[in-house]
Amino acid sequence: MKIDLQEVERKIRSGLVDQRIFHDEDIYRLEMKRIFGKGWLFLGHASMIPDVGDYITTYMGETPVIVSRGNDGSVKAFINRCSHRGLHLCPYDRGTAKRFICPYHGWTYSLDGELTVLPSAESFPSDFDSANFGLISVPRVQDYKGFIFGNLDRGAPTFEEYLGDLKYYFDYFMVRDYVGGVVASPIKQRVISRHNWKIPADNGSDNYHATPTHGGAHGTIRRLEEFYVNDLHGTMLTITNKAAADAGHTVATGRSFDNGFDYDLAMAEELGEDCVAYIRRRYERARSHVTDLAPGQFCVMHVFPGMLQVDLASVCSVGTAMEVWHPKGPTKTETWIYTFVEKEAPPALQEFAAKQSMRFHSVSGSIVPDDHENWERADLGYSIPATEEVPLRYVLGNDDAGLSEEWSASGYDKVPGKMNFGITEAGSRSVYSRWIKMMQEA
Amino acid sequence: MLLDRTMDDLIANHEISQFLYREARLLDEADYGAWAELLDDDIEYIAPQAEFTDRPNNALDHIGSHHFQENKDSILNRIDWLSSGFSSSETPQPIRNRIIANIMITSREGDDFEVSSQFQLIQSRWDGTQVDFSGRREDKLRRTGDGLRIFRRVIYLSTPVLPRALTTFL
Repeated sequence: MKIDLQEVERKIRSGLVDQRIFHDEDIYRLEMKRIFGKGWLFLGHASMIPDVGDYITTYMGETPVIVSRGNDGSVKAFINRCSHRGLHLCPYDRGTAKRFICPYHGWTYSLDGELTVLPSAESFPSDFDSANFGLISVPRVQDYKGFIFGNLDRGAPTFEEYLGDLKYYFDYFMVRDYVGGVVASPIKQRVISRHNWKIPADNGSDNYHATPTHGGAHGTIRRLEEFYVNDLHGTMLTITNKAAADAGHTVATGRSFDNGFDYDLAMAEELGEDCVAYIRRRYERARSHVTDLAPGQFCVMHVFPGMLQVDLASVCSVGTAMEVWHPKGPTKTETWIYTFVEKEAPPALQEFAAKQSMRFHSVSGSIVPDDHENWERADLGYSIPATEEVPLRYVLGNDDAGLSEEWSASGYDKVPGKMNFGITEAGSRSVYSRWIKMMQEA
Repeated sequence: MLLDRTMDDLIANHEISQFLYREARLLDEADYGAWAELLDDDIEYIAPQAEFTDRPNNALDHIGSHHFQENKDSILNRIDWLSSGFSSSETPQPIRNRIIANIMITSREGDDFEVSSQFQLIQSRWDGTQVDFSGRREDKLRRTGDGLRIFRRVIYLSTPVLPRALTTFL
């Protein structure tokens, strides 16, 4: 390793980031082991594989995996690799199968990953035991309230422990039990962009870029300007983990720039009475479930290292977007965008919410293209040899800024997590602190 | 009689291919206002996400993450954004050149045509990087007093992984 990680850590403690960590091959290889090999990664949602035999394929870092609904109805995850010669086993995005067959020599695996057909079995040595040649399981798989996460590290803490204080926000913004939960299609939008995966990870909590980068983005949303509100409730909040300043997970939140309830209601009125009734009911339930996090908060939540939820709470609160980042080398990232909608919403409203989400937070929408442009330009900046010794500065905002009186009066001092009020790079600092800590743990 | 029909087909073919070429030129030049005038007010403009599937469970496909599921309103809103000058991915505007080929009238009923065509869009950015969006389009076109209008377009992209964010129409 050409780069001294202790030196990188010393700089991060002062809010300075070495540009070489975004391009260096050795750093990247180590990240695959110590970050993507030890962090909890989003694999899918239970609704994507409702029936026995349904499966999707995805990646954990660069490790391809199959996520399937096994014969006993539980979710299984395997490395997508034949145990014989190592071939990539299943070439489909998704499907329904009774078995997975390797095209090379016909080794066949059950939904539970067992090797069930071994062609020419009689010619194998007598001590060859098929039981030892099933697919390699992802060592830890957790179905957290329908959200399936995997971890390649057998000794990892539980997903709940890993989330820490962020669990509260994950439950409220993503799981949404209080409105009956969410569902998602396995159809995901995919794009390649040319930059390191850590750039989106640090951008996840960057509320500083919102106006300069995305100032024009609301143009894609019909009639939204009719619902803008001027008395925004203070400015932004960034939440990390109270237990440890280096938690890495972040929530960037704040009162939305428009009146989401009135907007949702106006849209629902065009869709039908059942949609109007649903919107009224969901807001009532959301308000009574959480008194200290009012509905109408937007949320950009990063679960370190590879998952981001984006809920603008304004382009139709029934839907929310999720990004998953799959690194493809130090300077390439494949992003998948999933759309979640509330399960009990009428189909017309679900479909509308999914379309709105894609018009806004997607690669063909108005938010993500400008992020990708910026991140690719950052990548260009990090490749300049003459600036290798010039650190990038992440010094904006105090780590313990606390809350304004207004936010405290609204009860925000009672919700979990370390909070930072105002425009800040505190979330990004927390990402790099978590990153360097994991990078130094063998 | 046969000659009349052949002449009629040739004229329709010429009219439709010239229309699609002119439409392509408007998109290349980012003259989205003029382009939108070629769209019927009830247009459906759809670009599904490409996938490789094996007997998929299709129950939730209607809420999948598709590139476009637009109507005239949402297309006009996108044009507002693309023309706003606030989008760094469109500043400076990429150089775009598209080729439209394999134009086939697949069905005709009076003044309504179903037309299939292939496209290849080459898009170059200020730093010299170039990407390629290609695929097939299934259009429904209608002859009106103002010329041909598009009232349905389904775009089947030739790749499941976009080579770059999609900040134009296809």
